[in-house]
Amino acid sequence: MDLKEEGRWGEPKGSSVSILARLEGTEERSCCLFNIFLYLVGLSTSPSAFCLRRRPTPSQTPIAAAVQLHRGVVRMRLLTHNMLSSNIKGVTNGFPLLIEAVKVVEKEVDFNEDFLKNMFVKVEWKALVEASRTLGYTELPESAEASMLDSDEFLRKFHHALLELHLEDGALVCPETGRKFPVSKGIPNMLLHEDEV
Amino acid sequence: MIFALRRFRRLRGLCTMTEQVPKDSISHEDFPVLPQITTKNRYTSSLSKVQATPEIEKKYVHSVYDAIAPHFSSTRYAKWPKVQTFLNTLPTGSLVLDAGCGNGKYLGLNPNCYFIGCDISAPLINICADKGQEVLVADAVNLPYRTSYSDAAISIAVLHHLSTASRRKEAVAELIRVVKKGGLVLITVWAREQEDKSLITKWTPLSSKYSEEWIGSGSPKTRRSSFSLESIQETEENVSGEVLKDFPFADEKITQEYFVPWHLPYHRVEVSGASANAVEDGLARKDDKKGAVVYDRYYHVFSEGELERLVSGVDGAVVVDKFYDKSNWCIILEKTSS
Repeated sequence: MDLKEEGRWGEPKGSSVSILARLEGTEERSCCLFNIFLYLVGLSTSPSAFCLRRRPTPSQTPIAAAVQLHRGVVRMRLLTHNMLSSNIKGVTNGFPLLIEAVKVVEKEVDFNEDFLKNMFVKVEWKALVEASRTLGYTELPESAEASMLDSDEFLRKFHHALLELHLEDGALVCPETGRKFPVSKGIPNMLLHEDEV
Repeated sequence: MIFALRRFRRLRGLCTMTEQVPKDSISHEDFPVLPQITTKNRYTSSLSKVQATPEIEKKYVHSVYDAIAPHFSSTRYAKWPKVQTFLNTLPTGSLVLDAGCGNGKYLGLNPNCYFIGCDISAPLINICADKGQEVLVADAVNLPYRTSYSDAAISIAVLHHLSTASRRKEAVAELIRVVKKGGLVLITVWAREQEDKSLITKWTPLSSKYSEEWIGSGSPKTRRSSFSLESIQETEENVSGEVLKDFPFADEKITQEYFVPWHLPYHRVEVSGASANAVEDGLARKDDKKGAVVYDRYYHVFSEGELERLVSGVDGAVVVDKFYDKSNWCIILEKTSS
């Protein structure tokens, strides 16, 4: 099922054959056949109006996954990365975690100047610059100071790096031990093993 | 069908009754972040890898929340006014950490703040992520955050799932560690002094439960018993000052250790999967009368003053507020050292 097909899902214009071709489960198929029958005999306005099962969610198709980004599903942001630290026993400086990026996504986030200005004082700039470069974004200046917050251009770049670059799959790596914390579907797993506590 | 519905409603009612607390959490251990919570050997495979978490927490907290996550989450939506007030009074741009966030109902509550939630239960964290929240899988006793960095931290209905005083203290120390100087920490825990006294009668005090298994008639469940013994041992060793209080075999009148049932209706069982294996493994039992799979969750309910004593044992913070609210002891700390 691709996006175009999904867009007209449920509308009478979709050909019954192509709808059938897209269904995998037999239950759905028989359900669909019944709908088409109702549609053909004029009892229904849509060949899929009586589908008992919900149609597949967009996340089940790779193309639709891209759409999800615009629907607001959040991945691991670099602001979060800026807060994380390896807490393995014996590690004296577990920050910043190195990033191994397998999949990076970008998501548009509302721009909030006050929020950015508040965050600027907290963020470890160097870690943010390095992290954003690892994710393929090279626009941030090497160093930054508060006076730069007057520049809209700077704020936009800061905003993008901090909130719009998301690590979806990959790993965070302890800078001291090299221990990898997997990131899957935007969720880091920071649990330690028994010998690390 | 109608009967089934009625039964379901009764069950829902029962769950809500037993679970007057809007949210509790902390769960699970080291296994990759997977949305499925089904496979049978997951309990064992994940347990073997995990840090020195007492077996009683792994089995009667982590595994249970993993198994009931979707149902649990569907019942956790009411937000406590006191927690809401706390979060809403934080200044714009505050970084807030929710340690043991459960289904993440407090994440994003104040839109001017940046929330990060963590929980040891990967299935619960997946539910949060599906809602678009910024979350990670981590242990409240060992938070993966930089020291003195966030503006506030909350621990809502989490500490009562930790089985020794030293672990509860460690969790408090972690909350204080991660906030900056002047940062606030809100902690809430279930109180032994329940507003609804009859509630406790629905819980199983650990003492009698284990006594029954050890000396009662019928074949004792060796596995469960050995778990309990190990954890008791640890309790005794770690908590010199509070041995009696923490000791599950102590006189029932003063026990604070309970199994609190969670009824997972049969129709939810099919949805969430794992329960058939859980029953087989002795983690849960079927109650045909109620039409539910019953899980036991371990709780250490706090007595009056206990939370204060606990936090007073941790340096670097002062109590700025304390109150009793809806059968919970609550405390707000301010970090005084940097």
